[in-house]
Amino acid sequence: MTRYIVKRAGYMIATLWVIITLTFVLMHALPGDPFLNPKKVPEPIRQNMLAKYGLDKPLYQQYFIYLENLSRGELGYSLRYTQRTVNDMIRDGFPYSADLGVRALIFAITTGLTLGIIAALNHNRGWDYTAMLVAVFGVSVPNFVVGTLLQYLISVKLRLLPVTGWEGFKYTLLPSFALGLWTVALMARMMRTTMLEVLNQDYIKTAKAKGLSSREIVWRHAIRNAILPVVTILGPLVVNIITGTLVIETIFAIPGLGRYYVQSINNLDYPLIMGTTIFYAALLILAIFLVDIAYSFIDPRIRLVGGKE
Amino acid sequence: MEKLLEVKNLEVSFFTYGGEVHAVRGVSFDLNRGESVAIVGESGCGKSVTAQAIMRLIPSPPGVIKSGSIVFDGREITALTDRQMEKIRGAEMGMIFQDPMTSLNPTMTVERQISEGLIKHQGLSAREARSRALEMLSLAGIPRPEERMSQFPHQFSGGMRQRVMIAIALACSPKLLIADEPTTALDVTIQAQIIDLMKDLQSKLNTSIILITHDLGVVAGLANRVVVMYAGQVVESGSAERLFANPQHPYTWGLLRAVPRMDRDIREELHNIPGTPPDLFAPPPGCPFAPRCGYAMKICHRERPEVTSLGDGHQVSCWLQHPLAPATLSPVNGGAINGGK
Repeated sequence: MTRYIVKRAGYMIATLWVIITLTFVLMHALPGDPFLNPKKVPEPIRQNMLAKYGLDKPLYQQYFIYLENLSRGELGYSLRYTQRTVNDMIRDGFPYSADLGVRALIFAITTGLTLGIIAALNHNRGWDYTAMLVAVFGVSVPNFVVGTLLQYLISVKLRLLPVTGWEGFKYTLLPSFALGLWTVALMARMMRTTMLEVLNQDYIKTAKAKGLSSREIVWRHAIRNAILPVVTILGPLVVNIITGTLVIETIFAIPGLGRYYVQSINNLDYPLIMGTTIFYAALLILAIFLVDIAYSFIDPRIRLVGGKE
Repeated sequence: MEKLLEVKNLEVSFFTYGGEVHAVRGVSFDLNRGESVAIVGESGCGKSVTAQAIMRLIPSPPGVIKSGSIVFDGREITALTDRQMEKIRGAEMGMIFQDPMTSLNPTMTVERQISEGLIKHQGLSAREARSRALEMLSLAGIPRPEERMSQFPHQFSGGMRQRVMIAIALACSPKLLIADEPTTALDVTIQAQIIDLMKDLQSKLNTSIILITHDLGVVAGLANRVVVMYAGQVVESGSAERLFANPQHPYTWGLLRAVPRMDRDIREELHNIPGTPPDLFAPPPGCPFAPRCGYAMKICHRERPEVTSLGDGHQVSCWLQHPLAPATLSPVNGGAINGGK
């Protein structure tokens, strides 16, 4: 197990390095530079600014300087919000994004799995059709549409919940719902499929022959086996939800990291682009790693692969 | 001997999009305590469905027990509620299945899979269930049971898994063990071991066994009595000795002749039964075997034959038993049937 983790850590760092390099190259391939855009800056001043931020050096030197700073954990100053480091901005913004993401994820996993299980247990009956209707709706309608519709109906028309902002539990409901709905749908559909498959397995017949009740069979024998394939997609899903916050944060005016991510590209704010991208990439890599570890705990057959046999 | 199980005129159908499949059509047989009966017949003859009906494990929908009665240990199984049935399954009847590779839950240790039933039916504590599970595993002939208990099914071979299945099925010392083709998925040497194990445990625990198989070698090794099924009906039944020594139904002859024999010339072609079983969506009105039977008469295609008792529990449903039927010699042992007329 330890060996496996060490090996995986190596791969993870390599992956991150590839992402850093690619982002760096692509970012600099964009036309213009940070001081060219908004208002006309006189040429000598622009040159001074470029020199101050080291942007006049050859690209490969900038690349190595960036890597060196990164190795110390420094992501640099934002070129746009000149008084703030990218580290600070992530530290300030990410808790909001993470809060929203975790809420959406909890909502998505619990609701999605429950819907899927209910659908499978009532195969081809009313509950199944209802759950799958919700699922099809959730997959097909994009979250910004859901978000704005919810704002209009629940906040503006019915005045039940605040339209925007992030100041308490009431504020979290709509964005979490809008953000999680797609994942609910995906989870429900997957869980239904795998659950139906598992319920047809021979070992379920064995469990019945032991005299277990339907509830015991579902809880002890079916769910754990049915959840395995669902756990596999959990890693990418976590990231999906995190990146989904970009849109939702904008719609609901949540002071998270998402809006910086979008703005930084428009502004060609090099350190901010790099910083947010690396941060999200690292999260993704970590999420996938954690899912793999979790998988080995749920499925005993996986444990052997890294071991002696 | 005391009767443990009495199946009478059992009819089971499956309602599918294509119509009603008459899988079991009036099956009757009984089983005494401590006795073992084999139900033999080719694939699709309704032998597994009969077994599942006894356990009330027929998937419903689409399956329905249409009529007939199953009396197990004095209780009418078909009339019990699901909850009452749960108390019987596992506790008083155990079942093992054909494919040990898929019959065990891959994410649960063997110990938990055995002790689950014990905790539920006998109210044992986890510790008591554990020691009983250990006992069952060693009874089932699994070496180093303490170590093996905490392992998962993928760490066992096919034969070992079937032993685990037997341990699970017999954990609560049921009165009846239903073995649905327990050796079909195993290779020949392992088959013999599993049959020996079942025989051994039967004598130790005094369990009655219903053995479902199409392998007559397995039948000879284990069963006291044999029920031959064809197209959802019992065509012949009787003690194993009588049935092997003096079979009366042409289908039984066919089955017996289809068994490869060590003492025959290896160049000799294996005997087979030509044709295919009838369509159970619309079973024929007469004897279901008539279209494939080399001895079929006109009446065979028109009317179902009556059950003829030949004494000593030997029963056969065949028109050749009728007094007016032409005298026929059994191709299996050359003996004359229907009284030698």
